[in-house]
Amino acid sequence: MLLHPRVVHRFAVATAVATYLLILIGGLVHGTGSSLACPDWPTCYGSLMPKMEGGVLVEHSHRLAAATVVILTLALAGLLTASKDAGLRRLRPFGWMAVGLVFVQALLGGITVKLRLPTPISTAHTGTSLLFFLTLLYIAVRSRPAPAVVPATPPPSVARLALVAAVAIYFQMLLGGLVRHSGAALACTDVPLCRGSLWPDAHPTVLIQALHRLTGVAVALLVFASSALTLRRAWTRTGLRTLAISAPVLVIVQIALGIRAVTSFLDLATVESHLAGATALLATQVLIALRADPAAVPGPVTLGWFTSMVRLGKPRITGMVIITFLGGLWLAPGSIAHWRTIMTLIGTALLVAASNALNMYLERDADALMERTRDRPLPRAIVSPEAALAFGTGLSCVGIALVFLASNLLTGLLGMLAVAGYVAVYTPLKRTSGAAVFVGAIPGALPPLMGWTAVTGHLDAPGLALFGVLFLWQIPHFLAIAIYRGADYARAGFKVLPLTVSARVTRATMLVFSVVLVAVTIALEPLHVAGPRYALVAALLGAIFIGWAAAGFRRAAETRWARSLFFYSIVYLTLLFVALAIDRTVA
Amino acid sequence: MSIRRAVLPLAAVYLALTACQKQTSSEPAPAAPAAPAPAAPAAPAAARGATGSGTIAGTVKLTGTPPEMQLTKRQADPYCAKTPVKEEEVVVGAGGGLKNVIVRVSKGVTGSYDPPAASATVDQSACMYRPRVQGIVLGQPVQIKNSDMTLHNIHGYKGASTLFNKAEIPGQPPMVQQFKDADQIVKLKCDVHPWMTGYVLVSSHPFFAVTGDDGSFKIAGLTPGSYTVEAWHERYGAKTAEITVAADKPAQAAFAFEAK
Repeated sequence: MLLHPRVVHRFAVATAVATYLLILIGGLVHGTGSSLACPDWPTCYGSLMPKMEGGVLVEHSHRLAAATVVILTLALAGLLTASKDAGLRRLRPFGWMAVGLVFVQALLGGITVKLRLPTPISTAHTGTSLLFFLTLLYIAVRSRPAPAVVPATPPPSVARLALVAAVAIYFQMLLGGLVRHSGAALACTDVPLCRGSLWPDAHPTVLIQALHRLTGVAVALLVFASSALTLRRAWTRTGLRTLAISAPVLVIVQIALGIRAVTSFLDLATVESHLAGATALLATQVLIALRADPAAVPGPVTLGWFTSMVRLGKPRITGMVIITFLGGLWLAPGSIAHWRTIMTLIGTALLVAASNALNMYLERDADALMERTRDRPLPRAIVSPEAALAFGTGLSCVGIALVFLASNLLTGLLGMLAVAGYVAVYTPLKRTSGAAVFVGAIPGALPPLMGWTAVTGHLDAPGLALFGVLFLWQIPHFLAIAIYRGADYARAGFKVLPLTVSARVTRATMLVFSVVLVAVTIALEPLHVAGPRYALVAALLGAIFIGWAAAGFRRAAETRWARSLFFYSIVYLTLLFVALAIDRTVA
Repeated sequence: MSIRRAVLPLAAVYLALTACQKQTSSEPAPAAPAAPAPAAPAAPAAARGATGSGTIAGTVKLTGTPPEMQLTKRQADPYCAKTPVKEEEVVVGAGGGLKNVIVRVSKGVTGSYDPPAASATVDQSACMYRPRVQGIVLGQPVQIKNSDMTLHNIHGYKGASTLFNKAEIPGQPPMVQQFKDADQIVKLKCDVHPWMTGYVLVSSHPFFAVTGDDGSFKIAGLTPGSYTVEAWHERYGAKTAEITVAADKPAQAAFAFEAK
């Protein structure tokens, strides 16, 4: 029967395989310089079947193959929709999502020909092709009829690490597309160094090439880790074992092909194999992630799902952090090109949002226990943990790439330090030590420093003082929250400082940090960041801050005091930055 | 119903769609002009080609608003970045004359012709090919010279396939390239500097010209008779015209491409 689940599954597999081949033909179009062989679109020289020779042969074959895949995809969506099998019916939205993607993809292909290959559109064409391929892979795997004997499911970490690796490979491939389409493929002809350096002092086009090499190493390590974990935890599952053994082999082949692509001056077969290998590598990780976790089904993608994804990034906090970033950028001596400012700003915002999303992913169990956080998308199960993990990983990949490419090496490294410090150090430390607040204040204070270094390109005393202001300010600010939210934190098992030391020690810590904070804010004047009028305002605001913190030693002071100090700390920081900005504008 | 039954009608519809083709594609692919069929193989082809005093002269024009040429994006290479140069894909001179169009006799010439003794030159200078477009007679060597203090690779394509791909370091003596097949336009690309593009027509006879700044051309030395003349531009493709050449007075030919 046509709609027998096994038939539909095979049809889905065939469509995925056809798409893989289509991607390879797409690579040939660029590799043979045939992208504009047909000056028009969708017909070629006004014909559906032009004279198939030279570049026209390649370009038009890609179009005909794409038309075939469109028809296969429509048929697949139709089969899923018509099916009476419950498992297949659940895949219907994915079938139609694939249809939507393939039409967007065709449109991008058309636009890139009409506009004569603008880099962003061509790269988006690469990105959408892979999303489409992944959707088909998902349908192909999930449409598989359940086996008679359900195999043992490995721990969720196997699927999740593979998911992280898949997201990283996806963005590495997107960067690879950018390397091709921006003409950076031979931006440096030496290997492994690029113009004699890991990160040459050169035009961003060259940096795209350098970044693709460095991220290649990071992706390789991630794939090795994913394979090691899969082999350790799922040795008995032959399918997973084969995938886990193939992936590192593919990685090594990929690195060799990448090197050969440069040394051979883009030998067509080498470049094409590099694309084929990358797509296959992406498939290995997605297949491991899907097959190791048969239960993982993304929830329905609704408008609510999208807003929840945005909420994962904590837009309001991200906005506030971005203001401190802009403060650093504004105060730093000198100026940079507008596109650099905008791209670095977007990159930093993505890194902050990524840190928040990954933090929510890691704390989804604790968040469910706290009044303040139990309405978050993960505890309410609006968003699956896998979606949050993939989202956070993806945002960090794009954010890091943007900051590195648009800014400079130092700012990029600071951005990486901020994400790693927040997600990998601060988040787990919160559960074990009250000292976590001092660690968490580092990533929190890095964005204004990043704004500063984006302009200056190096660490100096004024930049560090700015970092110091934000670092010191966070201690009384967050300890105030910890005092008035103490019960909530205790329920979730977080070891915030007020729960681990006496009230006196907490208040003394807040007072000491307030005093040092005020000293550093005033020191911005002798450091020539701001003038004497600013220093006067800083001293006045600071005096109030210190007084307010000292008021905590009164006998009656408790949560009301902590709450009021928390609010004053926000007013204080805002006014301080306003004073800095006015001082700078006037001067 | 079987899966095959479901797929077959779809396949039929698809084939029907793709089969609705116009057989008369008037414009051949830009990078692969229609090869003139030598009237008969072997014996007549070996005969010496004749020359006469007939000429074809004329101009190639571009109608409509020519696309604006942007500066080449060459900041990635500090050496190239020292000399800003605009794209040269569409260069229009006074009166709408289109530069760098290859005009050649594509049908009507028989016999074989000796190549000129001197070799042709492609110079890589300020990270551009100089000249961008030229023609040679089969057998005429092409010297590819690197006048830049930066590395170039010269990647020659026939249509979509690679003919050669070699690197040339600064100060290296010119490399000499020979071409095997006649009546093709070889595209030159530098993968290090993606904006660098050049074209070399490899002709079986000397009856071709490349339009100058004003879009004019002149082909000389033809015997009287009827010829098919093809004008080819890298962006706008090819157009052909039937021209009759008399011995005493130059034949006129005019081509017009539409800017799009």
